Amino acid sequence: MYLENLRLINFRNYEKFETGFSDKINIITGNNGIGKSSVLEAVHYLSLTKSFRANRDAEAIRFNSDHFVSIGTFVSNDGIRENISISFSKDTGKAVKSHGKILANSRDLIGKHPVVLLSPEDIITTLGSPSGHRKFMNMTMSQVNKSHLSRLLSYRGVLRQRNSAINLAASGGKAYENTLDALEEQMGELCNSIWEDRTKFINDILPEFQKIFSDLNEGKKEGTIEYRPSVSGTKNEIMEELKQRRASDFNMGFTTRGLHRDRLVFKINGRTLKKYGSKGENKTFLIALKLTQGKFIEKRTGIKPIYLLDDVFMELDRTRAIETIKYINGIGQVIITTTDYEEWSGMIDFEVNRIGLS
Amino acid sequence: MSSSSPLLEKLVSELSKLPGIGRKSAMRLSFYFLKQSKSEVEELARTLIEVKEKVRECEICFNFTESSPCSICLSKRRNRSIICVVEEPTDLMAIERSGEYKGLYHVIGGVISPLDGISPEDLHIKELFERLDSVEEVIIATNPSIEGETTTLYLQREMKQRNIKVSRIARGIPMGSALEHADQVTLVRAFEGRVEL
Repeated sequence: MYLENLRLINFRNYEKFETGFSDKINIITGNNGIGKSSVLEAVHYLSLTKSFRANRDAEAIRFNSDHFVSIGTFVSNDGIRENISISFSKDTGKAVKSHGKILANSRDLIGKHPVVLLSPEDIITTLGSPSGHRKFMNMTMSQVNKSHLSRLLSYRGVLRQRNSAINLAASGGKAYENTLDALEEQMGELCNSIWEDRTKFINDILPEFQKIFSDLNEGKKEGTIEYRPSVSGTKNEIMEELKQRRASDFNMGFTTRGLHRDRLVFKINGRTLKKYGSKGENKTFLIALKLTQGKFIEKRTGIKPIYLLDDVFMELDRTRAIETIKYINGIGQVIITTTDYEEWSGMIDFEVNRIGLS
Repeated sequence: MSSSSPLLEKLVSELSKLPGIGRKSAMRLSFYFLKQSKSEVEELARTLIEVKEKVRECEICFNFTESSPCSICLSKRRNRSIICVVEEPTDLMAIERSGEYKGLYHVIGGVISPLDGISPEDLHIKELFERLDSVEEVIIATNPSIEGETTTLYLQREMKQRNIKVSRIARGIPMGSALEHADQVTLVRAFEGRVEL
């Protein structure tokens, strides 16, 4: 699967923008602030119906406009074309269309044209915080398993209810004990199934990750990922655990255990990345993690995802950069941004599609 | 709307308070009333007042009725050992239209939702427990939402403690629809709720 072309209207700093892509490696070049990342952002919209850097859709609207449109044509493995458009208007909100027809549920689009994104912020957002760890797992698994996404959304709903019940109970309101029982039963079921999904996911990707990480480091370093669930076990065991925590949850004012508190631990040669990792090591770890994510999606769905690599070679030494380039040649469609094309062209010995912005 | 009639403006603003009615629909309705004959509008106004005066909640099942207890609660032909629990009177009406169910009802008047400050005590659940003496089975027919599920699980626990048989209506593929259009959650529930043939 690949993206054949992209058209933007009032998106970020583009009033109008149009470009085609090759199904292999595309390099977007141009100076800082010219809008290279915006192109990746627009592709991200077409895949996941949302941005990776804006919290609100309105942020992607061009200054002094009231709406944006991102339109692209995806070509499937069988050569079938699908025209997708995402528009957002300050008045009418977001509309997701396939072949010009509005999709009633934009969730139906997720997983159809999967992407793997690597941006400079990922060092902080994906590697650096437990919420980033969960987002990484959620995004990956949601793209290969629809029921995973709907269970996550149900959990979010039940969690909000439990937090609310805790606050009402703590403020000495009515007896919420039995309501908490009913909510924890639902959370127990959801935590159990997502804990199983996440455990299996990490076990599935670990060998691939270790191989890629080792390759990028010419076999000199070993990387691992450990899953640290907040709660684990059968539905009933998790229910019991949540019940045990009620008193302390009353004090804290929120639900202190559950799948919303899961995290990952990343290690290089047995030492935690967070404490001991250099900038370069973080970057290499991140590249390996994202390439693994792509392989996982490909294995599960039979669809090669589109790799969006934003400024991927910043903070990377030449040896690792060359290893990375070797790896991405042939993994599918790749869209890379860079300010320094000269440096690039010196390292590659295959054809790329260069898109120069000015 | 820049109206030349403050009265008309008032009608529009009153109508747009109704559920599902926006300002545009409210205007359309207002103009419709203006075109109707006086007797037709009087009939509507009288009915509104009359409904408000005469229709109230049944003291047993909390369905809307003109005489309490309601005709369902008093009926000798219905199976008095089964109670079906629903959220709202509209749910009761929907089940009645099917003509399939011949037991009694209990309208709890909403769902448990701490986010909206609604606890079991705010619903007609206590009154349900008081009715259980000669009841053999309670069927729970709440909506398939998170809050509906919470309410179902709450009631299930309470019924088990009272040793009453409790069941829920099946969740799955609607009749007349297609499997391929069903979402994943519905399909999972449909498989969980499969029946032996």
